[in-house]
Amino acid sequence: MTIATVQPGVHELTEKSDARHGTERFPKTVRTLLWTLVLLSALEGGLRMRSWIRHGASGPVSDLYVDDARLGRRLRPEALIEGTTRKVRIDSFGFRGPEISLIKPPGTLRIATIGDSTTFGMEASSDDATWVRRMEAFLNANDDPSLSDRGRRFEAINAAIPGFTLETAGLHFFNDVERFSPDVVVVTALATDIAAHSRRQFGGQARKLGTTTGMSRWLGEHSLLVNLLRQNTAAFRARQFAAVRHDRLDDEGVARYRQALEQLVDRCVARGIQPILSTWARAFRGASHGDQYTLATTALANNPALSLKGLNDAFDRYNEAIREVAQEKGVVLVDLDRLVPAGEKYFADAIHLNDAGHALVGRLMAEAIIKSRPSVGAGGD
Amino acid sequence: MPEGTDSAMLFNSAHFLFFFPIVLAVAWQLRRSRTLRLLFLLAASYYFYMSWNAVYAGLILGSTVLDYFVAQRIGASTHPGVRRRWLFVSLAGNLGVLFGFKYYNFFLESFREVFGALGMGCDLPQHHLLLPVGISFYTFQTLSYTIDVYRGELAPTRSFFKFALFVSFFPQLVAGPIVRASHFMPQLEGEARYDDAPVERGLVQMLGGLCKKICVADVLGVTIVDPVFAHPSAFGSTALVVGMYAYAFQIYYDFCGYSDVAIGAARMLGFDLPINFDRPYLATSVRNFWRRWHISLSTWLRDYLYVPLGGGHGSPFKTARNLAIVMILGGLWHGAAWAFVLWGTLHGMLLGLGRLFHHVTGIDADRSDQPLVSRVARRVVTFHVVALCFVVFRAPNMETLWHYFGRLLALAPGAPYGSPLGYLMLIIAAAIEWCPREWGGRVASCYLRLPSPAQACVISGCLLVFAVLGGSNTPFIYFQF
Repeated sequence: MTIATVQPGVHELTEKSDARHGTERFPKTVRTLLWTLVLLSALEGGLRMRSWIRHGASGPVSDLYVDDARLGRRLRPEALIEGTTRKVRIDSFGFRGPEISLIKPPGTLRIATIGDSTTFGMEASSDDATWVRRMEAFLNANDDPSLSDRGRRFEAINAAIPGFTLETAGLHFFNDVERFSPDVVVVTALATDIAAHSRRQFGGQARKLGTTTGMSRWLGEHSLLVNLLRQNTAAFRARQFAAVRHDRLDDEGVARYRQALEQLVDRCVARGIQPILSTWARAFRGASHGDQYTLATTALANNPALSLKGLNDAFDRYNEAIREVAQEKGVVLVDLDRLVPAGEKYFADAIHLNDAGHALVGRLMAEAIIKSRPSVGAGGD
Repeated sequence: MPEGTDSAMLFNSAHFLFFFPIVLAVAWQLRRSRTLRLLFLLAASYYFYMSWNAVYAGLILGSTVLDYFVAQRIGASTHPGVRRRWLFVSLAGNLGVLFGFKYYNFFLESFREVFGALGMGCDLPQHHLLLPVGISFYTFQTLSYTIDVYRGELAPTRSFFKFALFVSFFPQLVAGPIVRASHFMPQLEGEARYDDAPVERGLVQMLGGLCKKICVADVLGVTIVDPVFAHPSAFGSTALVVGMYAYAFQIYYDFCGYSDVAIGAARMLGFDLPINFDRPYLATSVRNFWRRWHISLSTWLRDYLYVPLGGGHGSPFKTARNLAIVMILGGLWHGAAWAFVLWGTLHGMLLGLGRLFHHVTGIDADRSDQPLVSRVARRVVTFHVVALCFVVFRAPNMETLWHYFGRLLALAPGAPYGSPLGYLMLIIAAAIEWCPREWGGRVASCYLRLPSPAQACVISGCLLVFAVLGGSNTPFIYFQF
């Protein structure tokens, strides 16, 4: 107050009046906003705590990764995420699983697996539960004379990184994985390529399609509460907003993927590494396995431009491209798309396998490798 | 939609969610220092605009400087000729910039077509400049100030910063309401008052506005309006009628939602902005509709265009002419396209016909003592007329419009279209508009009586719904104007 007065009563009255207008009554709104902040923070904190307990990571963007100038990101060496439902260990070279030596031991056939989160095994309960380790265990326990008579041991390198496309997975393989002298490389990169294709083609229409932008996107990436809400309502939104979602990706993107796969296969063959290609399965294929929208929730959330029909079409066409390349190049194909039944039994979400799914895929991959009778490459022992 | 609005700080964006509480908190802290608070709000307003385009903030500053000095010159002179010349400077400067950015390409293209049809060429180049967001709003706002000073209804303000804040005040900067200086400037005098009641009510109004925008308008747009207007020839008349209703409510809730957020935000900052909508779909005539729809624009057009043209005081022909001019220009104000001109012309014709009807029969359609049946019938007819006119407003081109009306009027067969959520929102939108006015007040009062933790639950719930439905930050329709 600027009023100078020698009359204490008047001064006091003015102060009280001012307080009534300015500070005394205003706090209800402030209190409400603070309560809002507390409530939202409590929800966010509770969810993070739950996530930390269950999955060993407290946020949607965990500290599993480090930035990489070439690849965008890579796995943080020696990272360990341990929760009640999930345990992930990254070795000193940045691969998921137990430590591996740079020099391949004699008599060992090394199988590198490259791809995205589906191969990394994001939803598997432990490193040993991933299909890569299951495949390794199956191969080492196998008593097929054609494989065991030479006393051969199998070693798998899980070189997949969540969020990698075929291009980045290939780059990662030739730059970081090839020096471990793999004899076989299993390529399963598909889901991220579809999402990237969709973003490329429909990015300009992001608003109408529910793709988040700017700070809203930041909020989705950094708030587990917002992220979970968006993920869990993706099926509902896709159903309601189906009219503005797209039913088909363009041919150009599929052709580009196919070309990249052909180049990857050629490059592997030229270096004496046997490529094995794999299509990928999904929980939401066909109407006979429950509500497709519900099964496809996470895929719809990650592909906000695509309708359910568009998603099915995209998976079918990308898988078909993989089949064609395998046939054209004469390489082994593991057609998981046809071998893994849709539905909830083998899937934790739309495309990620649960432990049962990992076990099945591990066995299918191992059987394919056994049938292909791979030999130890020149760069091996 | 103007290009580049992606980066604008929309009221329904997370950016604004962080920006506004900070501005509110700092402005509250500065409430005892008039000058600092004013300067802070001015800086915040420019930051708000510059988050979209920093360079174009220069246009607002230019307009502010121009009108500040023009008003000083007009105020300092008693010579009518001098005052008129300075007014002309303001009109030429403001409308020139508006024309250059908004209408130049449109008229150039139209002239090219005309000259081309006559076998003549027109080599003037088009420009590829972005349309400044909110240019129509702040241009009209500053013009009203200069004209009021010219008319002697307002004394020019001495404080440049107060005038600058009047022009750029962020809640209403990009899409109104178009505020008059006589309404806003006196609020900059004296110490700021932050009574709890208006602040609380402002918060309720902001939440309500965001609900209207995100939960109703955007959902209607995505689920019904966009698909139907994209390919009207693929739908039967039932779907097209639903599309027409949906768009009528989408544009209303979109713009009314924006106005509510603007008015609520201003209220929380201690300012009062005029209302912009008064339940327009309860209008009993088109004339009555324009007293309820975008009130700040319609009163602007009335005071600064219709009345100077002679208003309704001349012959019926002159009145009809004046109405036609005002409504055509009003249509053009919304955008540089023939569809807006047609929309304005239709409204001008409807207003003219209403005038003629009144002149011939002596019946006042807007009288409140009419029988209920008559009032309801008038409301139903007026709503449908207005909704049909909005089809003209929304159609992306004349071909689409032709298909839309062709199939609608031919009663083309076809199933209804839209998702259950879209229909639900359409019903809710209509129910809110047509329910008794006091119901809304009761809901607000119920909320205001809640203790802080319960209010926080409501706000948190709303914010989470916004985060799910509004993650895409669909811009407000009126941003393009």
